[in-house]
Amino acid sequence: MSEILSVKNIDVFYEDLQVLRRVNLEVKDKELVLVLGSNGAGKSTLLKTISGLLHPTTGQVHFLGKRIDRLSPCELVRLGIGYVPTEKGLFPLMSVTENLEMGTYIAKARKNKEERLRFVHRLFPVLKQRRNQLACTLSGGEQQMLAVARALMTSPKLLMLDEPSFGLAPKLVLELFKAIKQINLEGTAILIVEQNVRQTLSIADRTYVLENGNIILEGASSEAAAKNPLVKKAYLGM
Amino acid sequence: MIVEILLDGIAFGLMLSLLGVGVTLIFGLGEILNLAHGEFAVICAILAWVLMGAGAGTVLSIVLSLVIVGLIGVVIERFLLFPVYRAKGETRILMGIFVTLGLSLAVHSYLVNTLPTAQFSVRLPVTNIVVGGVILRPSSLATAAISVSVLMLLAFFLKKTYVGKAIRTVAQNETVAQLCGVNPANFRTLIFAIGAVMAGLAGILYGLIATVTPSVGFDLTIYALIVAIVGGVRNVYGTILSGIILGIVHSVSSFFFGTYISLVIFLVAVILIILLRPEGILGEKG
Repeated sequence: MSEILSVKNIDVFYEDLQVLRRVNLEVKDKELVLVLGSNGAGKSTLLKTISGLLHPTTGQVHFLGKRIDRLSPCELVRLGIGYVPTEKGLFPLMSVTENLEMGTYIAKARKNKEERLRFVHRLFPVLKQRRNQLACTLSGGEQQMLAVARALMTSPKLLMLDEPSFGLAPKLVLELFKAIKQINLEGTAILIVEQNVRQTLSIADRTYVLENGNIILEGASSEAAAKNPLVKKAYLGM
Repeated sequence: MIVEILLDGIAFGLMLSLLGVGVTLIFGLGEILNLAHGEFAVICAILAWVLMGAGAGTVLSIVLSLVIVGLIGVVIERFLLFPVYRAKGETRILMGIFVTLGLSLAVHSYLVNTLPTAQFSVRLPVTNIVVGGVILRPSSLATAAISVSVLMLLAFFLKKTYVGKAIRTVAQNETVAQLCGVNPANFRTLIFAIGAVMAGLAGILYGLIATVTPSVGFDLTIYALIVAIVGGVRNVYGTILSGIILGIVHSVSSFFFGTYISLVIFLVAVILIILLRPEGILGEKG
């Protein structure tokens, strides 16, 4: 497996505050990679940087062999990076169908629109039932599904999810993670940042742990991560 | 008699809607409250007056001036508002107010000083139409028909086309719009140009029922802002509705109480609506 995303030594600042320090990370083709970290560890910043919403002051990000750390989000979606931000990942005053349609705004995705639509309807049948409803009238779980589906419509090669389980009931979390694993099995590489450890550890191929902007555990297999004393203590409560 | 007053009111109101919709869209996409909006109406009307004076036909002059005002809109958005968009939140709103207020003052003083005698008005070559004893003024009919067509076209554009939907995504969630591949800067420019052209058209239509002079820009800006805010400042349909309602209030009160008192009544109506629905007629709470 070749690596599709590589993050090398990036420093990222929010105004004057340094959020990420010398962070390294890579995602290989068809891999499901998890980044664990508590609140404020810099998880969201990491994903925002990869998706082009923020730019590193030092270091580089490469995607499919191309340097991307100076590109904008609208260029990156064309290269194949899909990103689902925490909450608010949709257009509240548009219908479910329109939200999905906007996922195919880029020409490349518009060609596969029908096929993609069938794919996300198969993953999340509830979106088909709710297709004419405004996005803001959906339940929290349905909104999260729609946000993921919207990103999938762009035909990403790498899908990034920022705390997809945020604010969802445990049963819904399970359902969502099943769908995420399914997306991964069908060939999309996934980078997921989470606080919800148990379910994500079980589906991830490799795990990183991010603390105060530093990677403190790098790319261990998930079994190894689960046995790591640090992860056990901080995230599994053992 | 009441039918005639209502028709005049609706026509005037639709013209206000054309003005207000631009303010709503520009604010919705870029959080800039365009205090120079009325000046675009004036620029367009005065431009048409200049072209007509130079011997161009009325229709050609109007079409040309609409195109030119759109291009002016593009240039102003790209060069004058570009630094404003780099600011965020409250700073952006304040900067937008200062920059567009400055622009409005500059345009106003320039036009008033260089073309003090300019006055644009169009008299339609048609006499009053009488239907069942009701006198229908052709100027009001034309204003209403043109405004309704343009507003319907705009609604169709926003609702059904990919570009229109992209504009709505920028207004609703700019981050996710970018993640879909939409470049907000391009759509801000586009919507500013559309707003400028619609204001320009409102200026031309104003010339059917009144005389547009270089000094009316402030008044038109105030009308545009009021209509947009009463409508719920991010809601296009609310703005259209509030334009119509306020237009009717304006013409009914001017007929019964005269123009001076009618302005007072107009503003009282505005205050009442805002007191009853602070978020605007169709605006959302919170």
